[in-house]
Amino acid sequence: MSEPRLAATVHVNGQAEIRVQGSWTLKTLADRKRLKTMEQEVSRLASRYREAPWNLEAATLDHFGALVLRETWIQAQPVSLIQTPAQASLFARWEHTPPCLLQKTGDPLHVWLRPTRWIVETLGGVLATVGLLINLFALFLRQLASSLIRPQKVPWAGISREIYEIGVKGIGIVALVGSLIGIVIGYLAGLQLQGFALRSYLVFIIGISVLRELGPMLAAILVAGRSGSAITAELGVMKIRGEIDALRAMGVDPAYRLLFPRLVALAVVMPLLVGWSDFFGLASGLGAAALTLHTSFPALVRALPQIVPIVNLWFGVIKGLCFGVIIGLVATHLGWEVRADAGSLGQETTRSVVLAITLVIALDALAAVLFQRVGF
Amino acid sequence: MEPAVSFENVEVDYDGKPILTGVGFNVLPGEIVGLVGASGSGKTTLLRHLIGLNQPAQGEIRIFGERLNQLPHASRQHLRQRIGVLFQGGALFSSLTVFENVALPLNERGLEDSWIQPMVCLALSLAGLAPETAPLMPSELSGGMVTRVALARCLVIEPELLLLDEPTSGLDPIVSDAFIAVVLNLQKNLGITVLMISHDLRALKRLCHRVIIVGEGRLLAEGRIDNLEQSRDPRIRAFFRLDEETNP
Repeated sequence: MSEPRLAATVHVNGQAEIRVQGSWTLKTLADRKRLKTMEQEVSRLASRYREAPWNLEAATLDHFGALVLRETWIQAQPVSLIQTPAQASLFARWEHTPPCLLQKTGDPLHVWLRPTRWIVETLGGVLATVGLLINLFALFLRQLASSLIRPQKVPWAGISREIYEIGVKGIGIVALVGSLIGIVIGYLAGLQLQGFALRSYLVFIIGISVLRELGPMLAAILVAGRSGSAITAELGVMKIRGEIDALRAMGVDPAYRLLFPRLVALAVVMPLLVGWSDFFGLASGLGAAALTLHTSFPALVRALPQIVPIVNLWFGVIKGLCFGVIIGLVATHLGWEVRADAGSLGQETTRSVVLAITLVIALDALAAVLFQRVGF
Repeated sequence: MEPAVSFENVEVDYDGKPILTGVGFNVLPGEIVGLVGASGSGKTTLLRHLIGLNQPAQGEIRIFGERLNQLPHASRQHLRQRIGVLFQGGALFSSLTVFENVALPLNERGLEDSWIQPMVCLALSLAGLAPETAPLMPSELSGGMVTRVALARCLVIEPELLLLDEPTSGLDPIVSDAFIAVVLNLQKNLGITVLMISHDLRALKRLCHRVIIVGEGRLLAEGRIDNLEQSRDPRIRAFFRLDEETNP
């Protein structure tokens, strides 16, 4: 592919002619430096030889080459062009190309009022989301009641698969994180209480913090991040690919087929994962405390049920169940909200994790205040 | 004349299973060639091999004389800039507007916005799209419009070789005719070479100089449509629905 060239020829009769030669195409002119040079050269020759015809016949031209010549000639239009019919059609096409809109019509609202609109829209969005979550919860309860009446219609296979995905595949990471947090609590508490005869107080701190708060919270955060996001993304992709519409078209209720198994699985799995997290948190916490205080690990374990009432375990497990339902409601609702673009899928998946964790923490705070006398 | 596209004894596989063997054909510069065959016969996979997205199990593919399987990554990327590919379904970037989708290949080449804007407008116009579509998101487009935006994205790079995978599917006859006219015009004015997969007989008849028929794991036939229509081979007649027309 030859480079674009320009040559000015002056004939014996004094008549000048500008010859456009070589390849004037996107491939050869895409280089910014070369493009600038050719623009300057075209301008210079057009201004200098105002009466000279431009001969394009020896040039290979595409739309971009024609555009470059056309735009540069605006300052000094050639009096005549010698060109092939194909080249003429390129210029003619530019003549008939309308400019395209780059933005949709502007925002009619005054710039000072836009923050107010943003606040109203955000608050409205939050209220609408809460309303939709309550609505979805009511739907889930209806589906649960209907399943109790007609158990043969329950999608058992779907529930079983979700329990495996969310629960069985999650036990490793829950055990690991539960152990690590237990070690941190046990080690730090042990360090603070070194030199004091406060063994029962140490067991109380570890037992209460793990059973009431850390066990359920850790399990919830891990499940929201691991499974909640996966549920949102899976439902979102199904929506984008039209699979949900296909279910509706087949007369299958997508809410019952897709939402119900996931919510049930989360409600079943979360209390179990909380118990699992509690076990590793307590074992590693008491182990770390025993090592720090140079005391007997079995003695700390034996002291646990006497110092920490068992109701704390049930309190944490019930909180886990509630957290599971919240994570499920948020994940399925936001999966349903995904629009038909990849950006929306990413946004809703992120929102799913953030909103689920925020609601879980809010509920945890509420429970801490409401049930402050339980378990002490 | 050196072929724009050349397949020499290529074996095409999908997930390790051979689906086409002994594939050999040439597409000459400026030619419009149709690739037809039953669904699942390996046409799209053949196209993916041609772009270098898949590697042939054996044989050699050449584009503009360059051996595709032996090209280093940079040269392959350079070669791809000469090829416009219209994927089945459009494959538009859903998070970008129509304008941004079409402008993307030019942005990648480092062109200034002042040049990109008219090029995008021209490409949209060539693809039969109104200027008002530029700020829309792909999710706001109909199926036919998505195909046309994808075509505009192919055309904006002024390709020497255009690979079209089912370009007229989902288009109404008027838009389909406009599309055919655009491709014919591009071929006539710029000498673009076109390899097109299609089931649209009308488009094939109006556009293609030659048609290659794929089936039974190999190339069944190759030639001008009017010659192939004379064939007595029932497999070839089936593609052109000749028996349906003569024996209703």
